[in-house]
Amino acid sequence: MTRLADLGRVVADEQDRTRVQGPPDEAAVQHFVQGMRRERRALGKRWVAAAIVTVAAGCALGVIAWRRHLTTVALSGTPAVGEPLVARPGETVPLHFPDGSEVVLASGTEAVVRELHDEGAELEVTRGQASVAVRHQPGTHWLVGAGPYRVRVTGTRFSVDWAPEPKRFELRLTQGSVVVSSEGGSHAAVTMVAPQSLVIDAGGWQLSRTETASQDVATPAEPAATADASAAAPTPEGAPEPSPASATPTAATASTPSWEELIRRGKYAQAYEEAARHGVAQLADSRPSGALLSLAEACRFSGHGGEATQVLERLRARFPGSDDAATAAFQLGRLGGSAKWFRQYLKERPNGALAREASGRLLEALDHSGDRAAARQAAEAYLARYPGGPHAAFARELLGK
Amino acid sequence: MEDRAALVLALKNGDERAAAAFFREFEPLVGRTMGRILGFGDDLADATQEAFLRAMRSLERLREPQALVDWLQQIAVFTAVDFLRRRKRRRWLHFFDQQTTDEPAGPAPDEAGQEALRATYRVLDRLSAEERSVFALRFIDGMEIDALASAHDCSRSTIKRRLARATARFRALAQREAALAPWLAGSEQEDEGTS
Repeated sequence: MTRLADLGRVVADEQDRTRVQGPPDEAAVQHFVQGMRRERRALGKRWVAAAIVTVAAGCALGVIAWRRHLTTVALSGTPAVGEPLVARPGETVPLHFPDGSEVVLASGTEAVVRELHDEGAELEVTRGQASVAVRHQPGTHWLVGAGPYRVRVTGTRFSVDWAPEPKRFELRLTQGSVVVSSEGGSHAAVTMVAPQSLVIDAGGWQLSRTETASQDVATPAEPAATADASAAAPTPEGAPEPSPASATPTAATASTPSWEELIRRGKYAQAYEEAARHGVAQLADSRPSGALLSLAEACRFSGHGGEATQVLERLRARFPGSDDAATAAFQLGRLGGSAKWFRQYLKERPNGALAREASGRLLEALDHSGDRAAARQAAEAYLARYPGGPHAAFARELLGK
Repeated sequence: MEDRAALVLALKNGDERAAAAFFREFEPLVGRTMGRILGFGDDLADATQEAFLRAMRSLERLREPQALVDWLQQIAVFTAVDFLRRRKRRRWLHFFDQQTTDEPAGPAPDEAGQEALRATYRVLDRLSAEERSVFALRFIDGMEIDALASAHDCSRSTIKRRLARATARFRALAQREAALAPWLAGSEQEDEGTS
């Protein structure tokens, strides 16, 4: 380490020692939400003003756009019993219920409210996906139906997805607990405790543990439901056993923050240490792809580049073709400075979010490797696609322009 | 990552609960990044709020949720740089240059450490906003060159040039600060030894 880096560490330690650590206070959170609300209102007013001007000018196109906007607003908000709710392709519809619960219908979803009362509602998803956040209160009575299945809810967050053809039901529970049953009792009711997912299709009922944010895990679940869940939650064949780190999430978060939580706080060195305690290789073999990207990040930022590479390579082997595998290719390029991985990313995601950066990094890697001809070719391609991009000056330099 | 995709979707829908969760989850990261650049002074809370509101305004430009952290960090850096410029304008208007950027607020201070902290930010106050940002994130936050380039939305070569310039300026200005003498013994080449 250099002397200035030593100084930096002293300064950082002083700052960390004296500043408040951990999550922000609730006043700051509410201040932000209110600021966001003010901006949205101001934007809404601008919308109205623009619509009035447009109507006054008699512009037919403007009138159509304005009417479309009004239709969307009418669909959002508190739904009426029996009203067909349809989220058109490309749109989502947020619904607010009197008990404070919220549901977001994903693009193309159809649903209807069967019952509405102060303590909850009964919502039927006839097709598509709904994300549900039920506000817990005494006497909560919430029921979500999807095809022949019923989800009974207390205070919970989950998404439910129903495809009438080929009759596939999927529920991803991120917070709390629910009881899933089928009409006519063709299958014993299953109690789920977050984080779990349940898929019911021609292959049967498959319940598995899923990745979720730690604040979701910390939400209280009904004790009885927890007991039921352990009895009624068969681990599907072939599914990895939960790792020691995730087997008792509540206990873990109560003492030491998990490595995932430490990453979220930007404490990469501590996150690495915590992950290493469970075995980085074991985590790479068992955790979901998103968690592995975070784990690789922690390894990289804490100076363990070799392990970061292993985690990313394992991710690509376990989740070939996924978005996260493509991102892992980009990260491998970043780690080793190899043109091969940037090319791989561009091959897998030519229009991906990291495509511009990967194209620029490819230039640097080729230049560094001394392959002038390939670097010039890549520079021309870069300038053609991103003439104002952050690597444009470098590309011109390579081309001698 | 699916959780992150759901979060981004809900944010785009204007879901206030998602916005609160977004702030709770990422405020420590944004606050820390901006705090390294600005110092943990009075305007850090305002700067953090501003960064999150900017993020909400430009959410439509975030095409893939997995880029969320890099994208947010970039916004944090650019917002911090804007705040530094505003600070300088304010000082010019008020002929006032006594703002302390990092007064201790917590437990018993380590006097030598505190003096090093104050002296460092006094020197940083004299760098340009861009130089300060790149220096603070490299040496105080310990960011690698790649991450630094990503956070400033520029190439490795540009960031290395900017870092070299900032380091040289810092070293020159720090000569006047006795508290920093122990850390100025090394060479500039040593400090630039970044990959």
